[in-house]
Amino acid sequence: MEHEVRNVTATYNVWWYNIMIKALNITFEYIRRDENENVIEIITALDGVDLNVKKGQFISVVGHNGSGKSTLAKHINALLVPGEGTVHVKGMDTKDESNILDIRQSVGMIFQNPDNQIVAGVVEEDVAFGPENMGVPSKELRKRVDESLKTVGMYEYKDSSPDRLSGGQKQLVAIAGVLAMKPECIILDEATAMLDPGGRKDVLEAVKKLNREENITVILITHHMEETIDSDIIFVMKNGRIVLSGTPAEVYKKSDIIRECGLEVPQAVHIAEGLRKRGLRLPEDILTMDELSEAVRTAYNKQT
Amino acid sequence: MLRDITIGRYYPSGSIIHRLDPRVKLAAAIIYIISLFTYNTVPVFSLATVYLLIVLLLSRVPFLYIVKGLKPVVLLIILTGVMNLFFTGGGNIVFEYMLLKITDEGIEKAIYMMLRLMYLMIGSSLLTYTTTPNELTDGIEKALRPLNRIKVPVHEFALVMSLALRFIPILIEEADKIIKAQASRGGNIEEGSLISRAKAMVSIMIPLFISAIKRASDLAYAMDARCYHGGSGRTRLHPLKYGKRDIFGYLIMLIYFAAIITLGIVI
Amino acid sequence: MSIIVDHLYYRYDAGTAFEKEALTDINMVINDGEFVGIIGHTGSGKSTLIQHLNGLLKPAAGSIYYNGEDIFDKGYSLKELRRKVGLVFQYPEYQLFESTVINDVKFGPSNLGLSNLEVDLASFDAIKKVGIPDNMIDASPFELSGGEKRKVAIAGILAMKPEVIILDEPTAGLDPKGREDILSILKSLHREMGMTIILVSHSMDEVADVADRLVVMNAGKIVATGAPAEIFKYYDELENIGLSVPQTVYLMNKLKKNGIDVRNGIFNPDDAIREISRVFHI
Repeated sequence: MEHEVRNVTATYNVWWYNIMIKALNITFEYIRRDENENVIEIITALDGVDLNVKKGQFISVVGHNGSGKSTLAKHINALLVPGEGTVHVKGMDTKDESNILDIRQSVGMIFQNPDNQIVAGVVEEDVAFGPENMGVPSKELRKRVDESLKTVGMYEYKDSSPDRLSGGQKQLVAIAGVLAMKPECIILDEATAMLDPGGRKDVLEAVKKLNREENITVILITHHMEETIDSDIIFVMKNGRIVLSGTPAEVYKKSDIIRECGLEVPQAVHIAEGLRKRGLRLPEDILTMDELSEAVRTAYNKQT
Repeated sequence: MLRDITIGRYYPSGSIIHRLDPRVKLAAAIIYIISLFTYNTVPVFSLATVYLLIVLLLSRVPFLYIVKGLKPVVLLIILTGVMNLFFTGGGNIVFEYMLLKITDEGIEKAIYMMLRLMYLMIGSSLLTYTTTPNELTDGIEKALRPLNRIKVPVHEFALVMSLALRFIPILIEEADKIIKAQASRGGNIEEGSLISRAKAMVSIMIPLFISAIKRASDLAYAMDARCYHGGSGRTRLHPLKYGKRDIFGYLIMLIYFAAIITLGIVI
Repeated sequence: MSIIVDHLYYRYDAGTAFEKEALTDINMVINDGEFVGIIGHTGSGKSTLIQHLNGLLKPAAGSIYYNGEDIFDKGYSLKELRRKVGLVFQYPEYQLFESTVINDVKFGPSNLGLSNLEVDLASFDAIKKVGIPDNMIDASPFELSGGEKRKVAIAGILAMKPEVIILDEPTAGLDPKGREDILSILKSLHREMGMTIILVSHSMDEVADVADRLVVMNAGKIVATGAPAEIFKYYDELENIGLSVPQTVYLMNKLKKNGIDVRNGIFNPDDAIREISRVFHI
């Protein structure tokens, strides 16, 4: 990862067409002050973070609570701008005010609390909120709202009140709301954290499908390792820094670092690792229970 | 207990009244309320009653719903009646006991006052039963748009109103939960000494307040992320446009008001 | 000493057009010192059920006996019941309101009319049990991390010295480390203090790890109850009501289908490692 970032830096003018997001050495501090404006405490939320995301990739950013992953997410669509360093989205600097609307149209964001991001009292009106702000004409709006709701499978609820939906369904509506803005990238800022297993699965499947079928770049921020299995690249954060990155197999291999970060490897990886330690020869790239059971069966058949 | 609040509850029946432009309904509600305060005569009130009944039937909102909506103001209506009954001077004395005097004028005034309040409540609840909060705020925003020219932030006002309507049920539910959670810790706002009750109240208000602020800040981020940048250049999914039935609606309103004035003057 | 729930029914919005039966004929016994997991997906009625156990909700029909007494009897003190049966709500950190951690924890015991000394002792003891370090005691609860706030909220219930503690999704939204912390607090309360614990969750992996017995709920009814290993045999049925068995159970079943002779009743990853090793003689 490290050398890849440097290479791109050197020639980045040429490579923009393929680069969705490029964050270089970003630092961000929350400063707390008392009543007299004296600084009480400086909390460094991001400490020299580099992030490089290509178009169409599925990226996961994992980390413990307070590791800075949500702060990082907010930098990507210019809700926050870095104290030091730069963030470019499709070549646009997030510090430049005139880029902000274009950046936010290109990078949609789904937040943690399903209730606090629904603006309107009717599902279809909420989905329309983004494109309405962009000034999309009413006729085109209608088309976009219907298409987005159909894509996430919530079309039949278009006239419902969001209060009647489950947490997972509310998040699907929020995704539809982002889709209606025709983004190239969607960030899920711990969007599955408050959902039950069913809702979590629905939301993940929806974004995986968007990534696969519509080539939308996905950045999944989470602390559930099981959700990251299908990513192209995982970034592991700890105390405002990226401490580990790579493909799922590469990252899970370093289970000791992952545990140090207050996280857990997926259970299949954990069991495979335990078996390997006891001397069972299993392939190195086992990520799911299906792969594990296949590998154990192969080993078993070889033995007998 | 808090779930029972039904302020502005919408009753979807898809009637002709529901399909009217919200601006027509707003205007109708205002004109109706004005008409109630013009003349205290039997013909005027008869017409107002018939008019209300027709709209009520057209709206297909069950009568039971309307009655339920009156519940919270029953006391106010009765109190107004009693005040008028006893404290109206003039007219012939019908009943007298020590200092209390009831006159025929008092009775008349009490009846008109009670009817007026009741019709006012029914009329305005018909507006909210047949119009979604969003339509209502859209209607207000569009109707007040001329005020933009004198720098009244009409769009912001309408947006704040619709967000408030959206978050009221969420906060009510949250308050319900916090009350229960503190009750589990022995905090009770209904019994105990004044101090412990006040403390229990604080233990509910502070978490509710903090949560409201947190929600507001989340919402601000969410709106920013979806390109919100004020009212300029915004388009609407359901732009408000007057149709034939809306013009018809205005016409009926005009005829009604003219009839009220005529009845008031002539009879 | 036990909780007995006897033919309990509950309806939402009773008497309105939105009336809905939320609990139907619930019967269960929770014995003294048991660690019970109540599991079901969102809307299965599990949160509604536990709010009956400390008298916050009144049933449409049926009764609940705590130590042999009907808690909905006229003379029964609900205040006393709520002391003995502590209820930790979902996201309990949202109920914190005091200026310091210790004062917040004291809110519960001081509502019980104890002496200042007793309140102090109970509060400091509770803070120790949840593992909040001494230097945080005078901090504002709003400055703590999410996981720490939740521990403080749990301490607020523990400080009332309950006999039973009920927790509604106590690990929701926490990262793995935070989750592990909370679960180990519960384990030690159960093992060392002998407390009765009722843990409500939608994660099978989580409850399987800590509970002696599971109660499975669906659509307002109890559909199964038994030891985790027993419950997990009903693999397909659980899947049908939107609950997944722990991943380890899935793995072991799959291995068995493939003709590998692993033992039944294994649901913990580390046990699975041992069992597979046994089959391979390593």
